[in-house]
Amino acid sequence: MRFLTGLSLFLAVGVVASLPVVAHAGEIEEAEYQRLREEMNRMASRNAWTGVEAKFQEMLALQARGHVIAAPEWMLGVQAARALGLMGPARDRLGEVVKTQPSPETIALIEEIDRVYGGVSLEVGKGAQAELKPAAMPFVPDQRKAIEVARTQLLEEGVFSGLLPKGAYSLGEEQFVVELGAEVVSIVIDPPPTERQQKLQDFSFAYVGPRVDLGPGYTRGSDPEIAGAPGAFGGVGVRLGLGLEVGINEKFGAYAEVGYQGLRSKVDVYEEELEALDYYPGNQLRLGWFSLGPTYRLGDIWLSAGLTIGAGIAQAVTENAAPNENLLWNTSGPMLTAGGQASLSYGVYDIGSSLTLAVSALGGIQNDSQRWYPWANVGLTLAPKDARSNP
Amino acid sequence: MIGVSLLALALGGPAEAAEVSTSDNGHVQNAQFSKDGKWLAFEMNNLSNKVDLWLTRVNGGIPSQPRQLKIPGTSSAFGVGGSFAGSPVWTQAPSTMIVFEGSNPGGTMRLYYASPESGAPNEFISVGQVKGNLSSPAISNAGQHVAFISDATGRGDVYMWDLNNADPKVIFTTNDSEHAPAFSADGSQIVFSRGNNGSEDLFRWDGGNTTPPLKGGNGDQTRPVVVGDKVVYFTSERGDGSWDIAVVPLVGGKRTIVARDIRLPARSAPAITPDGLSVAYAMADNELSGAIRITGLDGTNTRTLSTGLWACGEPELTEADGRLLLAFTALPNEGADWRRLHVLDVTGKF
Repeated sequence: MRFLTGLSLFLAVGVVASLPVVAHAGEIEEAEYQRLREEMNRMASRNAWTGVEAKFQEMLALQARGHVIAAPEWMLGVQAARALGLMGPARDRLGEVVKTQPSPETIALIEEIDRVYGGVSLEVGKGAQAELKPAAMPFVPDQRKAIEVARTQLLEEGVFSGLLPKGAYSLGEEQFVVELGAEVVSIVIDPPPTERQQKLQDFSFAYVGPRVDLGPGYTRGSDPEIAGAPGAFGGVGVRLGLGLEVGINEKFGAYAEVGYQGLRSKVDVYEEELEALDYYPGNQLRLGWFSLGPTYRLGDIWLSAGLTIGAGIAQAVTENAAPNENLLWNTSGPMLTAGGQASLSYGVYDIGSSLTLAVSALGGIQNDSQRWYPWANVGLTLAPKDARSNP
Repeated sequence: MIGVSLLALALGGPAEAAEVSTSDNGHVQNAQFSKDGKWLAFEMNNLSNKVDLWLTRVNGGIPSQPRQLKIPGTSSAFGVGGSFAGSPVWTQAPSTMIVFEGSNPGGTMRLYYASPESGAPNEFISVGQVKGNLSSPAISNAGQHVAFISDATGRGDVYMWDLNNADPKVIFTTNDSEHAPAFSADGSQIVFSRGNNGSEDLFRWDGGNTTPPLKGGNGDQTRPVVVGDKVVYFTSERGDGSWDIAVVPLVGGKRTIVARDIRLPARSAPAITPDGLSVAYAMADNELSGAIRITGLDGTNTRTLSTGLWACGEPELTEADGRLLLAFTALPNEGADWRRLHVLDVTGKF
């Protein structure tokens, strides 16, 4: 029993001794902290402040993992930041020093920073040529360095948020003044427009205005392409269009219009039959339409062409479908059409400074999958005047 | 910590002088008033490899509790050798600021600056700008330029820092070491001393590539200060360890000895009165060492102020709020160990 106990103890000790030595996380961080502290002090004694700042950043990473930074190391961080012109961090770190080890010197330095520096938030869009310039370069080196840091950051990263010495500055074309105790000065310089954006910015329409087309016309429904449908028909009606016309330049432009197009034509039926009917005894079309397309102007002569879609109600009558029987076969219903149209106008009269009245001839053709609907009309067109060609 | 003692004045009767005390023991040396006379910087040398820089506000001739200017990295326990902070100079334009030399133990000598209000020094010229030991800062009256010495090449070369670009450049190169630059009143010229066969001679730089000799000869001609069209400097031309104060025209010419056998300050240049007409000094002779003397730059009109103290030295004068203030070091008694700093209102006494 005693042997076994001794063996157990031996094994236990052996096992423990053979385990790798694993320090607690806190001990590792403390060792790292001490290493950083020593390196910071060594570099500080040689005025190697860039190195001190780099080590202090590592120390801040340790702090993020829960290690507390002591006041002397915060003070080294202050000195490094100040030597490098990082006055915002210097001010923040001084605040940490004061929390644990306040001294008249520390408080005096905070007061001096607050007495000399003001907050700014500067942003320069990518590609913008905006350099930060003080009205007068200060004598005091940390103030100069603070300006240089801001200028470098703006050039390299396009943003700077921090402290600048009080005074007047320019950032590109923007002038601003950093004042003490005032709100953070915020300046944003937009990036320059791209070539395409610049063209868009520089672009302006030659003319923009309403377009109105009005006149009588004739519309025909051709022979159907399906059996049993009423035959060809046609009639006159009014065509009205309302919309917008813009000129991209003096010659080329575009229009968009919505409108109404109708036709109506009676058929020959007996009176007694007619009395019995409860609908219009003839052909008719009531079509709402939308048309969009380019325009071309050559002085007073205007051309347009475009696609047109329409929706409405059509009614077609088959006269005397059965010989000797006065029957009236009526087919009516909704219709959807697609097609195109073109116009030729001639400007005849300016109305005010922005509109011109023209006489027009229009024509087009549409299809509702059963038949074609060619049409033509004459009328008046009211359209915007080209201000640039007719100043 | 401020002791006030009564000093017997040979001229005008006794007057109160304030003694500036610090908690450390050491010789006070190289006191320098700020241009507005409201601040006084001085060194404390404990004679054991350590020189500290202290600063005190002077209000109505009464100095307040001084505080030490600790350069960044001073707390470091690394490095061997002594630490140094001293050779202060002041600028008033565009703001009151002190510039001085400083070195951490084991570190190189660099230039630092501090606002007297905060007293938190920061490096003036970074290592990235100019390498080597930096020393002897001099600031032009307008605050537009700072001249200093760097030994980056192994010799002492004069560098110039310009307010407009803050990019220090060596202004001329020689095979000799230059020391102690001093600006002319308008900042366009610099007078400096240069090592020359084991001693120092004075030269002048006027913005060109040449540095014509200003004053040479036996012994050292050193620590010049430019006053109008004159250069005032210390000279040991008579040998035997004797030091005199001499004046030479800025454009060169005959030098005039205006004071003989003076007590050479540890580091400072001759102390000029605020009106620019006279120079203040103390005598090396122990029998005469209890007084501060003032002599006109033409060598005439010497006046003596007896202090009642021992081994007076390193006088410094300023004008503040219409009062003429004198700072000087002295032993409080014959057997005292350390020089102390005294501030005295000498308005109307000279």
